[in-house]
Amino acid sequence: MSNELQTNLRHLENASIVDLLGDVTATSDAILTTAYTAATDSGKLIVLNFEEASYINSAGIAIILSLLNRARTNGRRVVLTSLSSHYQKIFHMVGLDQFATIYESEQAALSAAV
Amino acid sequence: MTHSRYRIELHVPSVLGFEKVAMDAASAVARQMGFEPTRVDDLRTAVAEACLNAMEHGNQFAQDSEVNVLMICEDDRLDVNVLDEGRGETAPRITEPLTVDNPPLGTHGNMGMFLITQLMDEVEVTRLPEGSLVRMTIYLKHALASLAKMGLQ
Repeated sequence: MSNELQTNLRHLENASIVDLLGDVTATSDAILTTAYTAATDSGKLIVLNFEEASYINSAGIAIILSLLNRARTNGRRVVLTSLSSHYQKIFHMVGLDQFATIYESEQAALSAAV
Repeated sequence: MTHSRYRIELHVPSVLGFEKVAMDAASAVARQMGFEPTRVDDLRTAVAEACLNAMEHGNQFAQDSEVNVLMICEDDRLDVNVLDEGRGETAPRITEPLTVDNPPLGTHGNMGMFLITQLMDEVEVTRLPEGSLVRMTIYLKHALASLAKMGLQ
């Protein structure tokens, strides 16, 4: 039944992008933490790309929130991109957009990073 | 589709991932009834969260437990009832809105129940002898309004 989260890390000139593929749920903590840690090594803006994230539940949102809280504590800038309109609404409801800016697209996020 | 009291019932195991079965069934029913895509998405999330709460808190992820999902199609609305087996100590709480300073790390489906109340038109939680029942309702009025605008009604 699971479509376990997979991640892909891309390093660009001004940002490190973590692509999230599949489900963001209670079992996503370790893989997301690993990807985030690898992204922080670059010292650049970190972009979480949700274009291929198919299902995000409250447990997954809590993990993302913890990650953003950690980033804020450590002075690291993290932005989110390419959420569906439904999940943009959900993230706004739970206040997650107060922790990180949400962009419509990767291009928009990268433009803001310059 | 003319619908008066059609009933669709599922029993899903208390295993993470099986909430998707209930989500997909609920969205199929809602699409059949003519709900707008945004409301179908809202229902999918609400049903998932209710099932997850039932699995974790109501059923304690017990291997032999199930979550009962009963969908009732009325002329003006869809009711989705999610019932656990009452193995948890308390029924789900309808909680206060979350804020940045009140992160959703609380007990008993804090964020899940919050999302359900925000997304559904009506939510009722009842503690029954057999378990906790969460009833979620969405009304068709939005779909009917859309059809009227399109000159289809």
